[in-house]
Parts: sequence; C-alpha cells; structure tokens
Amino acid sequence: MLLLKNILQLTKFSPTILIKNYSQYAPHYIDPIFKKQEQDNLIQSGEVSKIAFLPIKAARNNDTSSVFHDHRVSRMVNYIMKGGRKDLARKLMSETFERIKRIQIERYHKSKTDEERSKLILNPVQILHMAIENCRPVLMVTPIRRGGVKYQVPVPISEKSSYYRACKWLVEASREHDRKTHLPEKMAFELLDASNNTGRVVKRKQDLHRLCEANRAYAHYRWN
Amino acid sequence: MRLTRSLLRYVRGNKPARAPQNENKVPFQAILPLKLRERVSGKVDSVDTVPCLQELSILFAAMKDHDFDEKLCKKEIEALKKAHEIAEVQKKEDKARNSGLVVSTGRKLTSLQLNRYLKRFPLKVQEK
Repeated sequence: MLLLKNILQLTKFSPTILIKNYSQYAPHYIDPIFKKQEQDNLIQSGEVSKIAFLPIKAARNNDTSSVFHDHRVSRMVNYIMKGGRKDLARKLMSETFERIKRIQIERYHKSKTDEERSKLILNPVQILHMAIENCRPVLMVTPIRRGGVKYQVPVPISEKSSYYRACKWLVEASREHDRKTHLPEKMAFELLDASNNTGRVVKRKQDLHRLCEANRAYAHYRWN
Repeated sequence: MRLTRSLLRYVRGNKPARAPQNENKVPFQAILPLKLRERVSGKVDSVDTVPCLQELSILFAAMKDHDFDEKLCKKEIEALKKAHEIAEVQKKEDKARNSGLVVSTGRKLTSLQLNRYLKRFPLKVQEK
C-alpha cells in the first residue's frame, strides 16, 4: 500500500511522459547510410560533418551492407509484392534472375564469334538496371481543368518518379501473361526485351512521349 | 446660376442648356467607409510564368526529328532536367518566402507579407 502511494506521488510530479516511439519519423530525420562504400565516400568528401549530429532513421530490416544488396532490386521486389508476402516476391525475383541467366548463357554458348560473346551481358542484375534505365520516361501528362475542359498537359517528371513508373510498367507488363506461363518467365522476357531497348514497356514509354508531343500546345497551362 | 446658364447657351450654340442640379438635393451617401482597406489584392504577385517551357519545346522538336529515340536527344533531356531541378528549388524558396517563415526586408514585399504587416500594424488615418 505504501509502495502504491509512493508511485502515485511520483506520477503526480511527472506530468509529461517521454514518448520514445512515434508512428512516423519527424521530417528532420535523415535516411540511414548503411553501405560501407557510401559511408567511406561521405568521410572522404568531408560531408559527414554536416550530418554528424542529425537524427537518423533506423535502418530497415532489408537494408544491408552485403555485396548482394542492390537498391533497385529491393525496390523491384517491393513492387512485385502483393499482400505483404515478401518471401514470395523475393522468390519470384530470384527465379526471374535465374531464368535471365539461363537464357543468356544459352545465347552465350550458341554464339559463334568472340565478339558476340563479349557483347552479351550475363549478369541479370545489370540487365535489370539497363531495362529500368531504358523504360524511364522523361515526361508525363497530368489532367488540368481550364474553363470546364480537362486538358492533358505535358510536364517534366522527377528522377524518383520516373524510376517508379519504369518499375511499375515492367511489373504490369509481366503480370499480363496467359494461364500457363508464370510471372518469372514473362518477367525475364520483358526485362531482356527492355534491356535491348525493345518490347512493350519501351513502346509504352514512347507512346507516352508521343501523347505529350501531341498535347504540347497545352504545355503553358501548367501552373507552378 | 443665371450666368452659368447663359454662358452654357453660348457654348451650345444658342440652344437651351440644362440647369445644373442642386447639390443639396442629391446628398452624397458613403456606402463604404472612405478609407483604404487594410489589405492588398494578390493579383500582381501571381505571375503566370511556366518554368522550363523553352526546354520542353526544344525537346519536343528534337524527339520528333529522331522518331522518339531518346538516345539521340540526350542533350535536350539533360537541359530539361537541369531546368526542372532549378524550377523545383525556386518553387520551394517561393513557398517558404510566402509562408512567412523567411523574413525579408526592403521595399519589395509579396502581397502575403504586406497583408501580414498591415494586419499587425494597421494604417493610422487622421480623422477630422
């Protein structure tokens, strides 16, 4: 009883409770730099002193300094994921890589000259990077209402948004398959096509650019 | 009054002139208070300039020439990207300035800043 009384007294004199965990980070928190190479770069360039006393977000559980970690791949896994089933998404991604590797190795052995062989890229991660780079749009259209009419106005997009669009289109194209083919099979083809700057996703990007060009008369409707 | 009428007759070429109205018969009614308001409109500040329009049109021309192959118009894309980044930074600065977080001195104030000052320090009008 005495103890309880003491506790009550204590709580009376401590009206504010220190909240440690927010549901969301405050905007002044910076993203963690979890790769050894990036950290070294920061130290060498001297920029580390700028962020030395800034609060840093905790690293996510898939952020790792492993040599196998790749930012684009981990983003792609997240775009493939449905209903939070990340293990499945990761499996699909690795299976896609395996298929790409198999296709490329087959091509490697079939090619007759050394020149052809040297041109082939066997690293599936590199192929993914190339595919995404080739699918990135420069512009997009946004609907803007002027005088009761909606105009499709072409606007330049940010780098981040263009990466997102490229990944989303690749995943969307890979999902459009018939019943007998699985996602990794289709995705491997889509990625290989896109890395050669051909295929449906690259065409989709070009179509968007054509739409922007057709609507270039409305470009000045954009408000800043 | 009499003189005015006859003079007007002279001016109008010997036609009968209308008599001027009696000011006392039409008293002035002040519907709104006869002083300036404590705010300014924001019309002047809203300059309707679209950023990187020039770069956009150059890019469109280049793309049409090269049949939408981006590899052949890299230079134009880079120019647009640069202009877009500058515009984004400018937009952020403008927003900060208008929000009142940045205190600016001098004669050139935005309508928002001016309104804020007018609200805090209203104009003192000498009344009779």
